[in-house]
Amino acid sequence: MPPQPPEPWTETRDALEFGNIAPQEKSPLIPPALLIDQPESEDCLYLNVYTPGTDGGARPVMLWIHGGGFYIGSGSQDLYDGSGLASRGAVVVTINYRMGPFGFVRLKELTNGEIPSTGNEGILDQVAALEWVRDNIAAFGGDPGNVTIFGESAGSMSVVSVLSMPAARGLFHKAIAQSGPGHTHFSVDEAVDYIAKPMLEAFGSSDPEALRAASTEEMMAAVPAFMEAAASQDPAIRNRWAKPVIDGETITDWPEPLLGSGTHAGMPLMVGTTRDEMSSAVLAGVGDGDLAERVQELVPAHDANALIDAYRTARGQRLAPVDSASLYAAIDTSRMMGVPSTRLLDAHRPHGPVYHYVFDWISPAMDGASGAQHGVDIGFVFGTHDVTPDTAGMFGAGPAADALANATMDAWTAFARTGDPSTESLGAWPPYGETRATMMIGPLAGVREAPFEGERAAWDGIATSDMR
Amino acid sequence: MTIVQTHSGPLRGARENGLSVFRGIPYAAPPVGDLRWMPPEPPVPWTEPRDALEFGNVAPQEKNPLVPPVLVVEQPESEDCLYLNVYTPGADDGARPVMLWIHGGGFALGAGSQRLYDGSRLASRGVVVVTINYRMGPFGFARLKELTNGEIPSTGNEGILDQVAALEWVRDNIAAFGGDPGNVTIFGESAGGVSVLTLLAMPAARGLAHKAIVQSGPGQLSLNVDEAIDQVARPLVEALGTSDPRALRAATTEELMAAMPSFMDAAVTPDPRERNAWAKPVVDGEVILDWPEPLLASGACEGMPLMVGTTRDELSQPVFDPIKDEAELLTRVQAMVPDADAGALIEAYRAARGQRLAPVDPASLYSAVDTGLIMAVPSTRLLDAHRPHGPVYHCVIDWISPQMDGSFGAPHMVELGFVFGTHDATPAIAGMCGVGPAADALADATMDAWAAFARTGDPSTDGLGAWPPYDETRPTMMIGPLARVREAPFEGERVAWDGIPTSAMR
Repeated sequence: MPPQPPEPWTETRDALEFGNIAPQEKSPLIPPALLIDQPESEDCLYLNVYTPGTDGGARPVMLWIHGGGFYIGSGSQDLYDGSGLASRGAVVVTINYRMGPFGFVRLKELTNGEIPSTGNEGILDQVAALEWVRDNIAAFGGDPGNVTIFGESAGSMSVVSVLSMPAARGLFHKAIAQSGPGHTHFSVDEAVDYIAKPMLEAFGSSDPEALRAASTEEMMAAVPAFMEAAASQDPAIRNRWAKPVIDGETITDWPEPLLGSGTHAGMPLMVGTTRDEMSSAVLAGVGDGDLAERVQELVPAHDANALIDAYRTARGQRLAPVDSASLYAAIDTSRMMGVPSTRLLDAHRPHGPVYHYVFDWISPAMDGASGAQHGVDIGFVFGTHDVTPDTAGMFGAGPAADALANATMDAWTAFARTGDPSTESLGAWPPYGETRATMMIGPLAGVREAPFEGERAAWDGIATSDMR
Repeated sequence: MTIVQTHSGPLRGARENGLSVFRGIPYAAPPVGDLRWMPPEPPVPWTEPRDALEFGNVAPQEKNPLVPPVLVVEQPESEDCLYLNVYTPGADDGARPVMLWIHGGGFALGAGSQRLYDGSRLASRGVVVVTINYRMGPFGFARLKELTNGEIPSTGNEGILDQVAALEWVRDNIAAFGGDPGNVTIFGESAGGVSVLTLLAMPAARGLAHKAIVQSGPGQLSLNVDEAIDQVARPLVEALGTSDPRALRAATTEELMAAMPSFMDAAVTPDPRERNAWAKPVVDGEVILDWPEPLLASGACEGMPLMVGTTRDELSQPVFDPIKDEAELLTRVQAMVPDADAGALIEAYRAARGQRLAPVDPASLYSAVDTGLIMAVPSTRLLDAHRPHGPVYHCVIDWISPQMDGSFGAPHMVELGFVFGTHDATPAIAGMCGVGPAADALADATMDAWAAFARTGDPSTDGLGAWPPYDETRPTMMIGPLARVREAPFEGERVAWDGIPTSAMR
């Protein structure tokens, strides 16, 4: 069901411990830095507030939506400790939302509406959290008239979904979408065919009573797995895990046309990616003999060889690796992340201030072999890069990493404050105009015009809807 | 403007960035004409204040298309090149620690005046930085005494004698520049690191230096007398077409440079035997007493603090020399270590790297083994040799260069921009090192540690943290994205070389 308001209480209630987290997919493929050790429950709709003072400060509010494929993660992960950002004068709110079978399964068709879930319940939870912020954050020293929603990966896809939800109108004023442009959301048919149907088959029944009586574990076991799909070599399978649904009602449209229509006139929007989002593909090793075939699978209706040549040329010019595995990973990074992200900015540019970054800090893990991988921005956005030995192994530690964290947090809070991420540490950050000014955040930090342009332009003529 | 009295005459320097900077100070007479191939002589004194505002000539540079942009020098070249530069917070009686830098470049390239070695930022930490030129190539490292029956008495160590002369100049003059002649740290990278080790093997120099930092300095690559003659002097003389001393003395700078065996060509050749055939110091038992490891082990530098470091991927050459497959890997490694078990070495590296999920493709394995052979393991052995005799410190720079999307790893030279804080001095250097908050912070932390070592002999600082000496647990400061002390990093790789003598690691 959509989220309902909480039961009120009268006696002072402790808000000292994190609440339950949503039930998590269990998989050996999950990296240690992302494992969480908190009680799981469907009763998981809790949020956390970090504020310099519960006063009349009316500070910028930053509401974080965690990633994890809509199957793992929580607002209470060490990685999302809001203290670093809050110490810069923001009120940070981190939230849980329903995930997997409880948040993103569209059962209304297959149960003839008796279970009315649209597959967007998790996003409705996020909207409910925004309503809570609107109603309460002033008492926590925040300004309900200055709310920035930000998220990474599935959290970014959530930000994009919230942008597309009429129910969320007026609840936020700025948005940051990190590594998740939201173009891979489901259509209604896909939500039913790829998720609801297999889940009911695995469960063994479509009877609403049986479904409501099912245990948490039974539902978790029945829903199609995320990590397995994400690790598949087959690009068609890779997309088949529960996620928001563009149903024309709860979520009205795909993000690009929605932004392009001027739905959010005046709203500052920052969108960015890491340079090597799909670097795990390098490690999976596409061989020379496979490259053309594998790329063709990514873009069935288009010329794979033209793409490959464009990437080989562009990367060759800067002496970046052009072995088949690297080329495949780079092409997939653009397809899943880089190019749709720039298209969001292009769509919104006539309507509001837009900012672009590429995070190219190379993870120290594996002697740097995973490059600037998916997620490498998170530890710096929160300044939690070294909160545990595992996170330090993924992000780094020491003076250089500390400085990058400080600079990133400064820029993010500046954006939340004024809508302009320019700061002393990273420097003036121009909007993403026709010159495609991009802030590179990493070892060689600064603004570059149209970085990776040879790669980007190779997708002109390939519709975003063909990049899924 | 600031005027300083030196033993040779008064010098006029510039005030800039809160420092007094003196450029182009002659520390020896120009080694030209009859002085070509002779030990350095004192400079001719002068009486009127002489400008020390412009860098002096640099030594003639090897010309080669493979020379990387960061090594390009901007000043005129000449055999008349024995100049040094001083960067000091004040030409006063501050008696600050002195840091004398010996540049690298294969004894064929480079100069103290390169942008990379601008001493300003390091000096701003309260040390006096001295950067020097020295004779290189055919003028500094050609052993002609045998082939000319002593008529040209060069031992092939003239460039090192120049470095000694610079140290003597420091002893005699640096107090007037606000430095403490009783606290001199010699530091250098690559050929400069080899130079530092070589100086330690010269009693005359040892008294002039009180601490030493060796960055990526493969001291075991120096030549013995036979090699100096066979691999350098004889090819030089053959290319010139004469061993007649008068003809040699009459040869132009250009003729000698053209005739000299190439450093760059040797450095990139795939054949490990040819790779060592370029001019460098000669361990002749007279000018240079011994190889660095046995010398240090004998306690020749009792009490001296010594820091030795390497970069993690010194010899990564992904583009230049890709190894295609396992068979080629085995063949190439066997050629590196003819008397050892190449297969066992490779397997040790594969296992150790596999454990941390580092790449184990043939090209990466080759680079790693090569790094171990030339740089990493001989460096730890230097520390083991000196450990009973003085404080020793170890570091590995694993900052990944942003060039080539990071695929070059942490290559040779990557630390230089951080040691001097010149990482952003030019686009070429920035491309190699990086710019912005993270790179700036690493530079500050590195300069602080180097200055602390020069000051007290202990490189511990707030920035990088406490830095323990290199004892049996092999604590090593990792300088890079995950900066911290690690005990015995890369130990699986290191022990694979036990049983292979350093003399075979060339």
